Parts: sequence; C-alpha cells; structure tokens
Amino acid sequence: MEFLQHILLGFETAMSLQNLAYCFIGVTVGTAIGVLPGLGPTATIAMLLPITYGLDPEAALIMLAGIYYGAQYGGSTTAILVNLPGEVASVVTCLDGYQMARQGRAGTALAVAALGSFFAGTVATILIAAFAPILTTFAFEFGPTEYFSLMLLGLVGAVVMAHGSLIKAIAMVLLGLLLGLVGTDVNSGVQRFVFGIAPLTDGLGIVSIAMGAFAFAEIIRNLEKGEARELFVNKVQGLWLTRSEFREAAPAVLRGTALGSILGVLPGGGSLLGAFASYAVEKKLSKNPERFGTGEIKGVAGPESANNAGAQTSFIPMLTLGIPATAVMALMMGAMMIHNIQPGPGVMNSNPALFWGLIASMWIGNAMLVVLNLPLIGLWIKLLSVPYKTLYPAILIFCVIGSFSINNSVFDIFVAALFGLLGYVFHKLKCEPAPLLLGFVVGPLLEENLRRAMLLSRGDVSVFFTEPLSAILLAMAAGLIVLLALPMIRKERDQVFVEEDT
Amino acid sequence: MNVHIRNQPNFFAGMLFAVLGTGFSYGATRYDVGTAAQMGPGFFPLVLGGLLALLGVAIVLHSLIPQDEEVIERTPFKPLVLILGAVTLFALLLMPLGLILASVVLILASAFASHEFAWRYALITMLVLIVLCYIVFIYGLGLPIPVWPRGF
Repeated sequence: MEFLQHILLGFETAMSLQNLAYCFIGVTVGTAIGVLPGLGPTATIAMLLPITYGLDPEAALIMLAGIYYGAQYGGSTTAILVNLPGEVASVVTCLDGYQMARQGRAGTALAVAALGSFFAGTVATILIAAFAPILTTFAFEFGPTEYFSLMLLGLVGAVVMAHGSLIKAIAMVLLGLLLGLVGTDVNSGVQRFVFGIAPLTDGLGIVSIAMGAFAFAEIIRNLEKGEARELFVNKVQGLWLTRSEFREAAPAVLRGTALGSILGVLPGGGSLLGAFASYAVEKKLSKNPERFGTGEIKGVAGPESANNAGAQTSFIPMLTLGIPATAVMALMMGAMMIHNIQPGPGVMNSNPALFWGLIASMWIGNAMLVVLNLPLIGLWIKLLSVPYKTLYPAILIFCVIGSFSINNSVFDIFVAALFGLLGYVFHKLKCEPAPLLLGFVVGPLLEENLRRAMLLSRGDVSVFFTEPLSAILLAMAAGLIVLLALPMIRKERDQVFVEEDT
Repeated sequence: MNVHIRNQPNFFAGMLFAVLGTGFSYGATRYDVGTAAQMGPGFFPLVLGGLLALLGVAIVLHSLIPQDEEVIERTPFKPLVLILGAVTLFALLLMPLGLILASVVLILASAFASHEFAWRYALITMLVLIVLCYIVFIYGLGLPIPVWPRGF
C-alpha cells in the first residue's frame, strides 16, 4: 500500500500545471537537441541549468531529466533520416534505420523507434519506482567506510565503461577529484588552491566546467570539421507498423529494454552501452544475421529501446546512493545541490515529492514524447535544416549569460573559457572529459567519508578491507580493473566502441 | 640516447598530468597534512596529486615503447582562438558596456569562425539572438545584468 501512496504522491506532484509545463519544455528541448547533431545532452543541460535556479527543485529536475531522455527520442530521428547520430547513443540506429529510410520505410523505422522507446521508458519508470526504495534502505546501513568504497567502485566502473585509454581515464578522474577540492575546506575552514582569488573560495562551478569542457569544446571541434551536412529529407509517410512488423520487432524491444535497464544502472553505463549491447545481441540471436546493416527492423527496435531504458535507469544510483553514473547525472547532482538537496539515500525521505514526482514525470514525459515524435515529426525535420552557423552563436550566448547568472559575476564566464581550452586540449590528447566531471562532483564527498572512516578506525587503513561490505565493494572495483587489463576483454571492449568513433 | 615519441597524444597528456599532479601535491604541502587518523586539509590533495603525477609519468613512459605511431592531429587554430576569444571578450566587456554591446562582440567574433561566414547572415543572426536574449533573460527572467553602457 505504501508503494501506491508513493506513486500517487508522485503523480500528484508531476501533474501540477507548473510541473507538467516544465516536463513538456524539457522533453521538447530534449527532442530538439537530440535531433540536432553536434549538440549533446551534457552541454545542453549545462547551458540550461542556470535558468532553472529560480524554479522549485521539483520543476527544475523534472525539466532537466526530460531533456536527457527526450534526447534519446530525438537522436533516432536524425539517425534514421540523415544517417548522422543526433545523439551518441543513436550511433547504432544509423546502421539499419538509415537503410530502412532509403528503402522508403522511414515511417516504419521512426514508429518502431518511438514505440519501442515508449515501452522501454514505461518499464524503466516502474523499475525505478520498485528498486529505488530497496536500494535506499540498503544504503542507510552504510557507514563512511562503506560509502568510501562504494564511491570508489562507482568511479572505477565509470572509468572502465568509458571508451579510450583506461589509465588516462583514471588520471582524468583524479584531476576531477582534485578540482573538486578547490575552495574552502568544510572541516578546517582552510582555503585550498584559491590563490587569493575571492570567487574561488566557494569552489569552481560544475556548470562552468561542463559548459567549457563540453559545450565550448564541442563547438570548436564542429567548426574545425566544417559544418556542411547533407540532408536526406523527404516526406515521411506510413508512421505505423503492420502486424507482421510488430510481431518481428516486439521480442527485440523486450530484450533491448531488459538489457538497457540493467546496463543503465551500472556506473558509466548510461544509455550508450545498452544500445551497443542490444545490437550485438539481436545480431547474434537472429536466424539471418546477414540482414543486419541492410534495414533490419530488429536492429532499430532493440537499440532504441535499450538506450531509452538506460537513460532512465541511470537515475537509480544517483537518486538512491548519490553516485553519478554519467556526466549528465553529475550535472543532475549539481542541480540538486544548488537547491540545497544533498543527493543520496536521504532524498527519498526528506524530499518525497521531488523523488516520486521526478519518477512519475518520466512516464508522463515519455507519453508526451511519443506524441511529439510521431505526429509532429515534420516539425523536427524542419529543425534539421537550421544551419550550424545560426546554432552555435545561439549556444554560446545562452552559455555565457547563463554562466554569468549563477553568481551574477563574470568570473564564472572566465572559468568556462578556461575549461573550454582545457577540454579542447584534452580532446586533442585523446582524453575523455566525462570522468573529470564525475570526479569533480564526487571529490568532496569522497574526502569527507575517507576522513570520517579513518577517524573511526584511528588511522588504520585496513578497515576498508576488514569490514565485509566495504571489502566486497573494493574487491568488485579491483575485479573490474583486472578484467579490463586482460587482453582478450580489452579487444572486445575496443571493438564495441569502434563504430562509435567513426 | 635517442628518445622517440611513439604516441604523441599520450606523451603530452602524461606530461600534463605529471605537471598538474606535482603542482597540486606541492600546493597541498602548504596546508596542514595531519595524520591518517586526523587528516588535515592537505592530506587528500597531497595523496591525489601524488597519484596523478605517478600516473602521468607512467603514461609518458608508455608512450615511448615501440607501438603503432600516433601523432596529434593538426587542425586550424582559427575556431579555437575566435570562440574562446569571443567568450573572454564578452566577459571583459559585459560590466562596462552592458549586455547588448557585449553580445554584438560575442556573436560577430564567433561568427568569423564559420567556414560559411557572410556579413549579411551574421548580422541577421546577431539581431535575432540579441532580441531573443533580451526577451528571455532581461524581460522574462529579470536577471540583474546591465543592458547598456554605464552612464546611460
């Protein structure tokens, strides 16, 4: 019965006129950025975060979440119609979706993507509602020792799942942790790495870092590549499935949803991993694997369901444990902290309306997205014809004004510019910026828990290995690293990510 | 000894991590480090900085062993300089000149970074964006940003 009460509270919160409006804005903006190639959800959420400062925390998070899962819907449109991933997780959709479009089955591909995503979104919402409370109760048993180990596991997991060099990703996490320490130390009041710069006493802003390293660096890279993009747009017809297509796609949707939901919870998993895994599984299970890549409906249905399921279940570790699985979740945590809500197991009890409202809004948002993406598809095709030379100055000006508005100070704009440069340099050196952002958010929490744990154990480090739960968590982290160091698995992992780099 | 860099991105990334790690560690020694049981503000950054520096050195060494050669991709500097320059100029000009003029500088300077730059198009984009920003940020959200130069 308690479960029902929670769900009711959630819908009550999410159905308020204000929150419905922000949910709608979120999913609309999300679809738009998903459709537009060269503009990712991390950059967009960083750009729009300052605008949500004045809102209630419920409205702010509902809107930001809508942007993230909305982008998964929009991304498929571009993948199918233009053969460009509007959003990273849609890379796999290009393979078969675009081929279907070329055969004149664009409508079918779009319909299966949207309906599969909706089904996955519904299941993922139920999963969050069912499992989040269990995990939360579990997390309450955690002391500082367990928390430290858990955060370590989270960071290691995120690094392992990130593509590219493992050791460089670990270095980026360390750098992020260090940057997170800049500012006034809560324990001693000492100002660390402030260099007499007054605005730095409050630390660096996550929004400025994300804007610089993601939005600015992205723009610079896109401009280097040259912005011409080919449009393969014609009228889309037949936005529905025949009975036989439905029967063919349904099992793929079910499997994709399951895979995406499980992989989304893992640190670093997010929406991307599930999409890749689902495509691989569908191809393996198929009786005619040679049809994949030539317009196979399962190759669209599976990954599209998986990426949407993953986008949503990646909220679970953030909401229940206070651990960000992806860069987007790191920003969500930032948004909560700005509203003075400490992410972690406490959220469910201290802000039940926020917690359950956010979950309920996901289902409502998914329903809105089906309407936005099927009957209104023409609108988004038009959006594709907006040239990049109009788009990037708009992103820039929204970013700088937003970054100014955080503290009404131009200092944050300078910080964003500096991280734009750093983000660019890191890209040239083949270092991913996402682990840095995760480290940055977790840094202060990790230090706090380490201090407490060591204080309780009177300086004995072995406590992390003798406390059973902590030992298990650390063993899992070590296991992940060892696994990855094995040459065979390394090769597999590199292969999985190969297609994404092209 | 003739050292040959086989993997340029890794070599320079490693150097950067080593320098940053050493810098953070060195900075941390100026704060009270404390003991393991009673950690001072210097403890955690000292350890993290040390780890980062070590990883950096390892990455540098790894970039020297025989492997497939990889060089840093050379690309034009124009977009980098123009985009970050435009943002920095905006930050410098916002308080003295106000939102409108700072935006003119930001949008025009960044527009030059495009391959398809054309004055007419850039000016129209600029006008539309400034009006839009005024409506959203000043009129809609009521942000306390100076709109015009001081003294107007």
